[in-house]
Amino acid sequence: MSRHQETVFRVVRRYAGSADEARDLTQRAFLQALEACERTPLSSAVPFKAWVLRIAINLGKNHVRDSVKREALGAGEGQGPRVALADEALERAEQEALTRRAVLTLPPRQREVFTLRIDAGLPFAEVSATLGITEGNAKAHFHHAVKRLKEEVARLSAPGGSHDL
Amino acid sequence: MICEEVELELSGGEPSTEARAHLERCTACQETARVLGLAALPPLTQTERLVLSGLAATTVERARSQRRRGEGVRRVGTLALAAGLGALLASAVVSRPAPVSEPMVRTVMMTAPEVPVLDFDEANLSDDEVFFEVGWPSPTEGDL
Ligand SMILES: [Zn+2]
Repeated sequence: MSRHQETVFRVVRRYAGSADEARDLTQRAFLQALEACERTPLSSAVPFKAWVLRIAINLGKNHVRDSVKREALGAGEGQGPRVALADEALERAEQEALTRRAVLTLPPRQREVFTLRIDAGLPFAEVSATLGITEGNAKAHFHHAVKRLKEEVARLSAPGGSHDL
Repeated sequence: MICEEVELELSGGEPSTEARAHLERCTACQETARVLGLAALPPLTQTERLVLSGLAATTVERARSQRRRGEGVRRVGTLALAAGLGALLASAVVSRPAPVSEPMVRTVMMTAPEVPVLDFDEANLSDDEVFFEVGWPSPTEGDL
C-alpha cells in the first residue's frame, strides 16, 4: 500500500465517523489532487504529498462541519440517555472520546499541525513543509495545541465540568 | 532538558533517556503524556486495514474514468497526472511479488491548490482563529 495513501488515511480517520468514510475521504483527496495536477502547470514548489495532505485535511474539516450540521438538524433523535460512569475503563473511554473531539475544536493551524504530527506521524520538518510554515512555527503550534488540550481535559475532569464540546 | 523539549519528544517515537528521566520527576510532563495518550487515535483496526488494502485499486479505477471524461480537453499537467497515477498504480500492485520502488510523486512539484476557506465558526468548532502569531516559550527556539 502506498505510504502516501496510508498517511492520508491516518489523517482523515480523525475526521471520519467510520472506516468507510475515511476511505471515501482518502479517495476524494487523491482524485482531487490528480485532477488539480491536470489543470495546473508544473511550477512552484509544493510536492504532491503535501498537496494531497492539504486537500485531505480540508475535506476532513468539511466532513466534520457537515456532520455537525446534520447532527444539529436531527438533534434529539437517536440520542440515548447519558450513561453514568461505572468504572475506570468507562471513564477512560469517555475521556478519550472527549479529548479526541477537543482536537477537532483546536484553532485550524494547531489542529493541522497536531494531526499531521500525531495521526500521520510526520516529523516536524515534514509537517512544516506540508503546511508551508517554518519548523519552529510548527513546533510552536504543537505546543499551543497541547496546552489547550490539557486545559480542556482539566476543565472536563473538574467536578461539574461540561461534557458537551 | 526543559518541558517543551520533552513535549516534542513525547509527540512521537521513543523518548530519549534524558526525556524519560525528566518525565519521572515532572508532573506537568506526566500530564502532557497522559493527554497525548487520550488524544491519540487507536491503532488501525482490522477493518481499516482491509479498507486500506483495497483503496489503491479503486482509486486508480476512478482516476482513470475521471481522466477519460476530461480527455481531449486538458493537456497541461499530463506528466504530473501520470506521476500521481503511477504512485497509485504502484500501490495497487504492492501485494504482488514484483518489487515496487518509491512512488515518483516525491519529485513532482506544482502550485499549491486553491482550497476552500472553511468557516468552522458556524459549527462552533473553534473560537480562536488566530494562528501564525504564536509565541514559542522555549529560549532555544528562535525562528518565530
Ligand atoms: Zn516537564
